[in-house]
Amino acid sequence: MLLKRVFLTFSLAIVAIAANAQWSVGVLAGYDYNLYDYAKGYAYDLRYDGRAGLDFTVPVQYNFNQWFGLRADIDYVQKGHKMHRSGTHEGTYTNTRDHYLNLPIVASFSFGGNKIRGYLNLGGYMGFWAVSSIEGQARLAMAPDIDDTQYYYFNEKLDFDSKRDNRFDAGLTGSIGLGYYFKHNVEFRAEGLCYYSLIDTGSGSKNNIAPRYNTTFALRVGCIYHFITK
Amino acid sequence: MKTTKILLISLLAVIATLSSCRKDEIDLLRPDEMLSYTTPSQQFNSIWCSMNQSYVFWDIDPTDWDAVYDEYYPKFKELDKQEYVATKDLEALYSGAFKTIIDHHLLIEVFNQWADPNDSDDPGKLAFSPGNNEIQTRDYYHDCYGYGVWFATSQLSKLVEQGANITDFQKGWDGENFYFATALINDETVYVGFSGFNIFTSLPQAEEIVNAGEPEDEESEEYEIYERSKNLVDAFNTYKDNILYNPNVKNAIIDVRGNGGGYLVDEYFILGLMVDQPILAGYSRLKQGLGKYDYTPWLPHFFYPNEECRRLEGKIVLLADLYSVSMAEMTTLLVKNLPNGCVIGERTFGGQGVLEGDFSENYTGTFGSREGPHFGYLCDRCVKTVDGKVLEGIGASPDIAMSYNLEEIVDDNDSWLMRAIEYISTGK
Repeated sequence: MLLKRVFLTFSLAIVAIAANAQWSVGVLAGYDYNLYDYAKGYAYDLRYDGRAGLDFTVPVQYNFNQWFGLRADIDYVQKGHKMHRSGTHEGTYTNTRDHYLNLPIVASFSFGGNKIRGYLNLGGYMGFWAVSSIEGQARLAMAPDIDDTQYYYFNEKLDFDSKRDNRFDAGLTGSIGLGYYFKHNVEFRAEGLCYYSLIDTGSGSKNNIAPRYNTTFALRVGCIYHFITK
Repeated sequence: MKTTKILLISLLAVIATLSSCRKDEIDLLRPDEMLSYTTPSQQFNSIWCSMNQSYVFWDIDPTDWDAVYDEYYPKFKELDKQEYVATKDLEALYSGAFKTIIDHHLLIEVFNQWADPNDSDDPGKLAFSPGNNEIQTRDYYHDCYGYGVWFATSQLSKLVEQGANITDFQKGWDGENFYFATALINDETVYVGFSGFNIFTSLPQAEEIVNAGEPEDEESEEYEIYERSKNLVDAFNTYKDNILYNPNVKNAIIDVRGNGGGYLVDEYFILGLMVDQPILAGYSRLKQGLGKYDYTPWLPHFFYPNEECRRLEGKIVLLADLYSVSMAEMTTLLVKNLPNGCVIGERTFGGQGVLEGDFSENYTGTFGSREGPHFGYLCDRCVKTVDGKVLEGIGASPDIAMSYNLEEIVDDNDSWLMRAIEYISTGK
């Protein structure tokens, strides 16, 4: 009897939720900034800095009700980092551009009125390091003049090496957003996002090799279309 | 609303917990300073970590260095239990750990701090070179006695006695390891042979001694040094003047047999005098970062003509053998890339990487200390040929193959030099 009641309550709850459910899909784009977490220890003249890039995402959301939904994105994120040396090696630098495809899946909480709503999204993501390129300068072994130092400029695609690169990424993600409904089913949205990777980008080696992580922040704007089912 | 709060708090709790899942930051140790340890396993760990971070061939080398650690660290831990450790036991383990390493410049010196002080036969120190071990497996292996500039000068002396057209024959020595010889063969071919690429350091020292003036006492040691230095300066200047200013000179024979290499800049004084355009030797790359596989892209590896140069219109022939290493091999590759170049001899040693000798330059290469407790001498740059082959551990092959012949060496008969002279006159 008790089991029957629980089952009935649960089913009615599902029906009630589904009755108010709606899908939404959108397009958001903006800028991101990737922080490259890599301990350089004793290499005092070696600097690693973050790099700005572009972000483009297609979110798809299933809203159970007005305040809760599940959202998944297909997100193109430009990550990367800069490296440069100082002192006698001042001319040595690289700018690495990494192109990722991320699939975040988040619980989406929303609050507010019919015109303006706020959002908080929390969850995780998986990503794939698709393409990489490197641009920079390095010192050549010899120069035209015996007393000279010569640098060589390069700008090329970086081939992946399974010994070096871990192309799978995963981690935590969260974002906050603000939406403005300029029609009852069309929303203009702005959001700020963070991807916090938990996967070392280097496939690594044991002992005395530092791990490296990406943490990416993005600011993006766009439009969301809500399919009203009721 | 209550459900929202519970869900939100739960999610935040999960996220906060998972955010600590990144690996801990490590306290990076500088390979050339990892010199403090008290046990054999700690010594092995230091050397292993130094190689892990410094070595420039990891993506090419067949050695699984992590597997080497897994296999050998427990063996060194066993040695920790002993009061004394025989140097031969240490040597056996290190030789095994490094046996497939391809860097043919690599030299590892290990001081045995745990040798039995009562064992007078124990040397207390070991040194090994995977490259030297590897060449002994080659089917044409021979010891290093024989071909080289000393041998060629014996042959040239014989030719002079026989009345051959050999002029401007001069030799010099810096009193230590640098030996230089030149001769003009048949008025149109300059022979130049030298024991190492040390012109850049030895010649200015010799010039300084000569410029200080001739000592009065001809019996004194100072006079002996002066005379020796003058011979070296005169030999080099004769060679240079013949290349640059002798209109009859069309060809050159460069002898790098038994030449262990040296300074990159010496090439300005060898091929750099004989060409008027930069030569692409191949491509090089070096470490750029602290990760095991942090390398630059492949950079063009050019050699440049000297400010004073003259393009030789005839043939440039290079003599190389198994003991032509480093810059001697680089010069071999350069001559092979010349339209008028030809290499005669044997496949070279296989140590073609470039060394700067200072770990701080690129956070790579040489680590430890020659004074102990360990020292690692290894490359900073990996080099590949113009057509993309990495010949480290393999060597450069000749265009015309010659064989080592002990009888010829005993008889002072340098058939390789004679073959080079024949090639220049016949083209075959």
